Amino acid sequence: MIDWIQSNIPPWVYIAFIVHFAILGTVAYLILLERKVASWTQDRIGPNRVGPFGLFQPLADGLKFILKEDYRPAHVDKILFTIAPAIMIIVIIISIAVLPWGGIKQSTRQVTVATQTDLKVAAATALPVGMNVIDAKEVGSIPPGTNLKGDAVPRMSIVDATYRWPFQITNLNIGVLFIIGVLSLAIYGVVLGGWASNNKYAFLGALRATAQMISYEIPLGLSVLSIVVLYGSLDLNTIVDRQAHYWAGFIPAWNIFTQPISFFMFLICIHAEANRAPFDLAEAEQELVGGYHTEYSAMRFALFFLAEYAGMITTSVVCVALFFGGWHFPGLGGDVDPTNPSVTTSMSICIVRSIVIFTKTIGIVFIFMWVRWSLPRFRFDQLMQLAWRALIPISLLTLLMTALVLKFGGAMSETYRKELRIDGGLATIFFLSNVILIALVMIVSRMIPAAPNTNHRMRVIGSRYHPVPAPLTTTN
Amino acid sequence: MNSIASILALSVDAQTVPAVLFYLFAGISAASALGVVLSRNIVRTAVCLLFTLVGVAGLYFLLESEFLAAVQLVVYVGGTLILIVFGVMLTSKSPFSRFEPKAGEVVVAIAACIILFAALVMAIRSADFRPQTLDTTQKYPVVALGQALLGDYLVPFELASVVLLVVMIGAAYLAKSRKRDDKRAVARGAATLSQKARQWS
Repeated sequence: MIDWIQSNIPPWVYIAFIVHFAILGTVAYLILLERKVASWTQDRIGPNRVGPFGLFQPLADGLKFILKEDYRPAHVDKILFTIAPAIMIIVIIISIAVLPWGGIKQSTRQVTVATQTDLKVAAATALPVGMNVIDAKEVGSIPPGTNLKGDAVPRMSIVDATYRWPFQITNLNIGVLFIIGVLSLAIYGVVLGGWASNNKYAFLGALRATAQMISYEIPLGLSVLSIVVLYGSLDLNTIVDRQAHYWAGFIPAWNIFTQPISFFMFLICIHAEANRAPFDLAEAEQELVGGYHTEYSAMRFALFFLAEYAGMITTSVVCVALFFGGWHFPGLGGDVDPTNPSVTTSMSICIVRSIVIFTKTIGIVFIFMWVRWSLPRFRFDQLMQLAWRALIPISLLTLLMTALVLKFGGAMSETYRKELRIDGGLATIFFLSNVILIALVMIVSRMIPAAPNTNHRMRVIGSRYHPVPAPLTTTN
Repeated sequence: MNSIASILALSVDAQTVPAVLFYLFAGISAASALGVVLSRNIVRTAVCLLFTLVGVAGLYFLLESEFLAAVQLVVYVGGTLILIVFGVMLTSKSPFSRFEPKAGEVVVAIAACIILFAALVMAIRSADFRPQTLDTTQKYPVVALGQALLGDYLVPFELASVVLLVVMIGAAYLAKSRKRDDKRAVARGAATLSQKARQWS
């Protein structure tokens, strides 16, 4: 039985189970963390009634969501109303599949296969699908004979097969593109939910969300592109691998140092994609009741909520992989090949790496919450101006800068030409170019005439723009 | 331990899973493509188109063309279709509007369909469907992809970008309310309003 499992069930099946349970379980506790962060920001204590430090609050919330009446108002588009939250959560769950967790694991196993000239191919058939066999040595053999039924059995070889597999659910070599593509589907949940509700607030929320997501996907893609140009790869695992070394012996070679502008732009865009404050115009409570999920209640509403938080985790993992060296942490390297630090033979290193990347992710998620409870919401015209007048031009300039530095600086750098790694000298050039670019943008932006103020205030009588003298009131 | 697998009827060979997935994705694409044609509600049409495009992307994944699949998602689902939905939502008067094509539009649509169908049949007849073994271990070199898209296939690549413009115009056309109906509706609305005002006064 164990034999059959070992040779037929690939390890990604277990990883898929663990990762999905871990992320969806974390989502519940992120909601608690969100409320705690909110209360710390506002100098309150926060939820602390259910269990120690309020730790059972998510369980109580979940139970409440399940027990509440699943109310659906009249005159909604029944089919779309139902599938909108489903689309949202399915999309997020799919995007979890390509996140990098523990680099590449190298294993060795003894398998018995029929002898043939290419033992690597033979060994691959005895292993689960998708294993990359790099070495197969014959250590023994069974002579040909007959089995109990009397059928002839060919000569069998006992082979020590060394194979590698990525310690993640699946490793697509277009990982970043896949995540951007799949996450761009999440907007359909918002749009359809808002449209099917047949409610003007929900509809307005959906319209705002659409415009916002179309606008912010462009700088998001461009800021990812400046990293892709750096390494010539769309594979998240490769991008992490190329960051796993040190400059001057101790500074980790993470992209936050080579591409700080891109990092900040990426951070802003994932805030906007997550529909969170200060970009939460789609669900602005003061204006739109609840925006696109006004008409949703019980578990359907909870699905929207879960998808928002799970989406935050996904985008944060991508952010960590692109800019913070993924699983790389000082003192934690591969033990097989110094030029290929992501390969390791030890399972415990893979697990520690997963914990490292998860901890970094929670750090980014904390920034999300910190920002949400610190900054006021944008006005819609400010939101559009930020995307089209600031983020898109600057991200185009960053891309140009990256290309130029690689064209001239990359040719000089021996390490970059040989193994596409950024060495200390090139990193310094990158950092200085970023500083120069920011200075340039600040100088030029002063010269560009300001956008016309399209925010026309209605002079409502009695408001501060059209004050009326207060009538005399007398009290007896 | 293959006996357990055979007891559970789990004789999963390398062909079964792709075959099941192929029929799944092909079924999704075909069924929702029918929905696109048959549905009268414009937003439901868009949703059906969403599932068609996602199904086709799934087929690309099955053919080990991950790049094409991801680009299909980014460009068509995330870009073009969302523009359709956005255009419809911005321009249509009532969100639950049904569209009833005029006779002229039906003629044009049928002509376009016949031309498209003929082109497809010709393309399918001239295609070579012999099973080929692909080298799937080969990674996508991003540089080679970029050179192919902006070098050898520049004209088709640029033509594809016109799709966005076409979509925007088409969405506005589909969703725009007919002028005459519009005037009539406004007049009717005004009549009911004044009637109500009289009742209340």
